[in-house]
Amino acid sequence: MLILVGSLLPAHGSTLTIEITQGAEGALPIAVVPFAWRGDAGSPPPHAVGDVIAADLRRSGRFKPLPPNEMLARPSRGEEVDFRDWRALNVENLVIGEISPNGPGGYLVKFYLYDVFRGEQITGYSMPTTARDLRATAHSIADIIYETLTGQPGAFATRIAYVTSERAGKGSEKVELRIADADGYNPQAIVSSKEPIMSPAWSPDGRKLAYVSFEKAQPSVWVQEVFTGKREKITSFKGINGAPAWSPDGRFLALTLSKDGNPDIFVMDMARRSLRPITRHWSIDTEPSWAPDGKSLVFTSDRGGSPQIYQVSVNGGEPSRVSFDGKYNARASYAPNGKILTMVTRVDGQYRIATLDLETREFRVMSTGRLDESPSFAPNGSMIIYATRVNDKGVLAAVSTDGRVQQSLRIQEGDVREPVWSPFHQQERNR
Amino acid sequence: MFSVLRRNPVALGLAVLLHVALAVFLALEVDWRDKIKPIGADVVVVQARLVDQRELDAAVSQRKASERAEAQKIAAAKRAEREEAEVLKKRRAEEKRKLAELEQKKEQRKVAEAKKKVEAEKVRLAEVKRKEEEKKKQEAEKKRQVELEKKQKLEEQKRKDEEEARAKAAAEAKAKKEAEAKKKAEAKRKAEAEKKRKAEAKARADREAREAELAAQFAAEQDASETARVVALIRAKVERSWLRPPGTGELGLRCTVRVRLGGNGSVLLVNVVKSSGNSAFDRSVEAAVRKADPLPMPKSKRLAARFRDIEFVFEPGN
Repeated sequence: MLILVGSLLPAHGSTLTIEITQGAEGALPIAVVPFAWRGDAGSPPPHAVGDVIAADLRRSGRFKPLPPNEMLARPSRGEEVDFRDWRALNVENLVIGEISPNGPGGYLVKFYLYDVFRGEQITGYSMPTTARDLRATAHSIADIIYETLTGQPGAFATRIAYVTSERAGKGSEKVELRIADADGYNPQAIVSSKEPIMSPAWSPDGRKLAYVSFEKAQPSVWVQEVFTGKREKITSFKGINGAPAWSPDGRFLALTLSKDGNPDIFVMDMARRSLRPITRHWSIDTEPSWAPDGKSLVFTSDRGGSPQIYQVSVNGGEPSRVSFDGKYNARASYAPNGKILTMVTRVDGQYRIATLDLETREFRVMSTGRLDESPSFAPNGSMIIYATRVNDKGVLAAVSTDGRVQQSLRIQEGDVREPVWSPFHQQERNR
Repeated sequence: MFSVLRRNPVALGLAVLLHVALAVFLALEVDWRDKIKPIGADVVVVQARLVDQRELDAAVSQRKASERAEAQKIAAAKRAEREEAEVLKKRRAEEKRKLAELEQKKEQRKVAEAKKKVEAEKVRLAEVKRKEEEKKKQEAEKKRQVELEKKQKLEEQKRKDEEEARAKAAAEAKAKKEAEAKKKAEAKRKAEAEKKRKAEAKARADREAREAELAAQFAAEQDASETARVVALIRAKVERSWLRPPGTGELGLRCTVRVRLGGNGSVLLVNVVKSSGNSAFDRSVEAAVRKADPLPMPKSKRLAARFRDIEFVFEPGN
């Protein structure tokens, strides 16, 4: 009696196929070797470029940089690299670099990115820069590494805007609207006032900031050019003028105005300066935010009894409710891919940052504070910046969109609130 | 000043003496203080306690009660003693009685034993007599038997001789017949042997063919199980080495890579033949294969040849 032979024996000549279905998910192990300084040992560069790059990559949640004290070698040139040193540590990618003096006050930064297990270089650049722009160069390198290895653009060379307030003696406050690097360094004040400043919003070309100022004891919406400081008052109707939000093409500004009796959403055509109401309801409608396709907005409304997120077409019409988890959801904004919203939600009496996936309806609470607010997506959608309170002081924190990594940003002086992340287009720096 | 001193020599002397004495005492570091002895082991420290009147009363009454109890105990003890003596006396009387009984019993037993011995002797003698008579009878019988046998043997012998002669004649006739039959049978046997040999040869051939088939099957099954074993090892090693970007496990991604291996399982080439569309995912797939270098290989070179080119399909969660 013949028995058929099992089917694992392929016919002569065909290839063996093996299916792999299990594995681990996690941040990519990478080693950023501290860059070598080729100049005078007594006057090193003002920033440790390798540290800035490693911190950026770690903050994104996609990378796990190896601490320098665990490195078996510190190569700074291609010929010094022995891949065995890095395979032994299970590091998949290696970054090495060097900085040399380049004229008075100038530096030349070279870096190389390697694939450790393939044993080859992936890319390398030589970047002239200055002491002032050294951090920006480091952020650009982090962007290149991020994009090469993840396929998505990096957002490390972007900026954030936020509001700080400090006691200024005699019971008065000093309030400032500041711009800083996305990691919190290099803060610069662009507006300074004794009265509150609120709701900063970047224009899509990154050259203007809209905000609400209470100067002259009345809230009004202003638009200010970031690089020249020129500012212009946009609205100052009776009552509330607040929550400015730029449309994705920069031609319109959504606003909350209560001039008609109760707070409603309006859209202003910036060229013609004409206003159009989007919502008309006796409830409070505020905090508008545009969808990336510019066709609809989300906003906060308490028309259902307590604050929830609603969506409305840019042409007006009946808004539909979007948030159903919990009794309080507010201050929503879109991720750049239009598929996720971030918002403030209330859980057990505590205000936390959450994300809502609009396709799967998955609602995830991302932060753990008591009074977290003002979430804002990075322009590549990989991180969310927000304000939280530490020791009763407002500070900024960032969480990666997958929830893996949380970090406090360098703590500024005073109370810090309302962070907003700039878009990609920034023309000030030289790359 | 010196005139004053000269006029009062005694005072001067005393003063000088005093100062000298002081200096001496200072130099010798004489300690003028009372030596206070520290409390040591030679001192008995009384652990005193404040006594409460109630406590005292309680103690007194307790003491009285305990004394009463004591007296009662003594009386009870005396009573117990007396009772014990009684019990002892009784017991001793009992023992005496028992001893007398035992003695009596012993005497009775002795008498009975003597009687038994006499009886036994009588029986033994009767037995011996019986045995002798038995023996005599048996010997007479034996003699008779021997005579009978002798007679039978003689008759037997006569019969045998007659038979032999008869048998011989018959045998000769038979032999002739048999010789002929044998010849015939021989011929037949040869023919049959020939047939059998042919059949056996065929059967052997069949069996060998069958065995070869089984061996091939067995080898194939061995191959299959060895292949499955090595595939499982490879899969485990690659899966252990696969670290993919966060969140990519639930996107339905699928990436196929073609891997060329050296004879000892070393990874020579990795090529993505079907991308997942996510470059970071594809990268992680290639890295997984390279990190798993060298891949396990089958022991036999023949099977290893099938493992030189492997296609891996990475698809999370299926």
